[in-house]
Amino acid sequence: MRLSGKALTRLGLLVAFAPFLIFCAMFELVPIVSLGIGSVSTRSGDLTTEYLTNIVTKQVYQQSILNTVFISVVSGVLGGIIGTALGYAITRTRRTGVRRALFTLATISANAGGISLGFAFITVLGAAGMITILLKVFGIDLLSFFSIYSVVGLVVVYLYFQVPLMVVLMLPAFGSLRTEWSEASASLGGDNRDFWRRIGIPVLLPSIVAGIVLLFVSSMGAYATAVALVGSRVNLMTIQISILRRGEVIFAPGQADAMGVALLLSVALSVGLYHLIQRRAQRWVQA
Amino acid sequence: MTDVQATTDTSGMANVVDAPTTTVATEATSTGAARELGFSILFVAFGLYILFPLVGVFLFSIATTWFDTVLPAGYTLDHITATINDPLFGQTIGRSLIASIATIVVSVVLMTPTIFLLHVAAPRMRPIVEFLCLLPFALPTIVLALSLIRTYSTKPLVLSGTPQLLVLAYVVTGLPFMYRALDNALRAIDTAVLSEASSTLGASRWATFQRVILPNIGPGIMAGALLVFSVSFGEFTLSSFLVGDAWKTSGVWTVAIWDDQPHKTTVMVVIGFIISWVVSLVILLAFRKRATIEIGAR
Repeated sequence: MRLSGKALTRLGLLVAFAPFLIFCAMFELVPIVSLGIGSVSTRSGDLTTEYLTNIVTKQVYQQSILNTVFISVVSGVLGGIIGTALGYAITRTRRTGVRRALFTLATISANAGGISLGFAFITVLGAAGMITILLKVFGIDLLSFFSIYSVVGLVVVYLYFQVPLMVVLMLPAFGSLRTEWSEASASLGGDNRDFWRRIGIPVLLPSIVAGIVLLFVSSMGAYATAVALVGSRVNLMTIQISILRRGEVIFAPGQADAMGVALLLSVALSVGLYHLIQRRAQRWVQA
Repeated sequence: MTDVQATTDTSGMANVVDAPTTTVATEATSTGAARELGFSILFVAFGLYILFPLVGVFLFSIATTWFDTVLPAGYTLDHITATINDPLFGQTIGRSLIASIATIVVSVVLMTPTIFLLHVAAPRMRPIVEFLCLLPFALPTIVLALSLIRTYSTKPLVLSGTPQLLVLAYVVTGLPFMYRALDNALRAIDTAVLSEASSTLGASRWATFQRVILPNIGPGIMAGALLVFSVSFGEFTLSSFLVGDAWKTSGVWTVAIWDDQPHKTTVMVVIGFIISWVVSLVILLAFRKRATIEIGAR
């Protein structure tokens, strides 16, 4: 049997792609699978579903999920709404210089996050922070009703990247709202409100929802920002994972893996959902 | 798994910028002015929100004492010199630099030929390659850390605790950025046509890659490298889990000194902000290419 030229090229291609494929197998696929295995194995290697059931039955893990989801939903929805309004204003303002400057600012801040952001917020909204003291001068005791080291505090900090991220995500959608549509609407006797209710919002809605789902994803997995800000004072899934894995208080790698699986599943499903909605949004948005 | 990542083309932005504003034709000018005023309020609020933490952390890094006044009691450069003179400063920054540069090298060597082949020889591989490259977006950094520890702390291959594993993990988080940057660069120069022309003239595929393609996608590689750099330099989650104190990076050091030497931490934070702003501005303005948004590396 002799190899045809075509089969040879195919073999050559496989060899050429091999380094990349082996790398991805070793550092993406195999680790994800072993995480899954770790979540259902005891330390002696027996099969167990204890870790996975603990997540839904033990109060401390339930709470971490509730807090994480709460922060992600609230910062996602708020970020989505504010970001949409801001994105609209940026695309529609008549001042070109302002528009370019804000676009740049949004693009850069959309990449913010991590330990730097956490520490930076402590210097403005912490107990001795600049704004905390500024408000005190005006007779407002911020600390009596707000703490940066809390679930609500984390929402305020996450909005720092959520809002700009939404702006950047929404720009193509705003670009797709065509002038002819508002003209057509006006010539048929519609006013500004009719335009938004019947054309603007329906066209933008899939993009807005898709954007919010992506914001949700971006805060579900946030860890560095939270650690810098709250240490372990707020019970989040990511912080719980780090406590369980580091073993300073309790060493339970299997439990950490189970939490990791839960986090991964929720994020992966959300990304899948994002794609479904995004496909719908693309109908109007010509890239 | 086609587009987890949001990309915005600045040239696309130009279209938005130059498009006529879609005010309904009958709208009176007074409502237009009111609208601009509303926009301005929104812009100022957003600008302040973005700038306040930057100003706060910068002032803290040069403050003598600052706890019960709106602005610091006095200013000093002592914290900056103390930070730079700390032996751990050079060591940890050095390690972060080494890790980031190694990440860039591995990423470029691994990805460039792969994406090139995608364009000239095996477009059918695209869905697989794209899936594998964009997968890290659906993979929270801490989950990546966990799964790598789980895989590489037992035989046959023990890598846990080594800088090598850290670099390989950074390569994973950089995959989406590298993929986008290279794919866009190769598309922009019409790689398929160039390669055909080159092979008509008798060049082998490898010679084409080396002499025709590589010299033309330099800026694309640079843009990808800068993005990879900004994700890996000063990174905290992966380095704290995978190497921790055994090979302390600047991110881990910055967090470790917060309780005892908060001023030094803020100096490091200011440096971190400056680097990420410069990198973002270079990508945005110099390359006039795509601004890529990170999701997951927070």
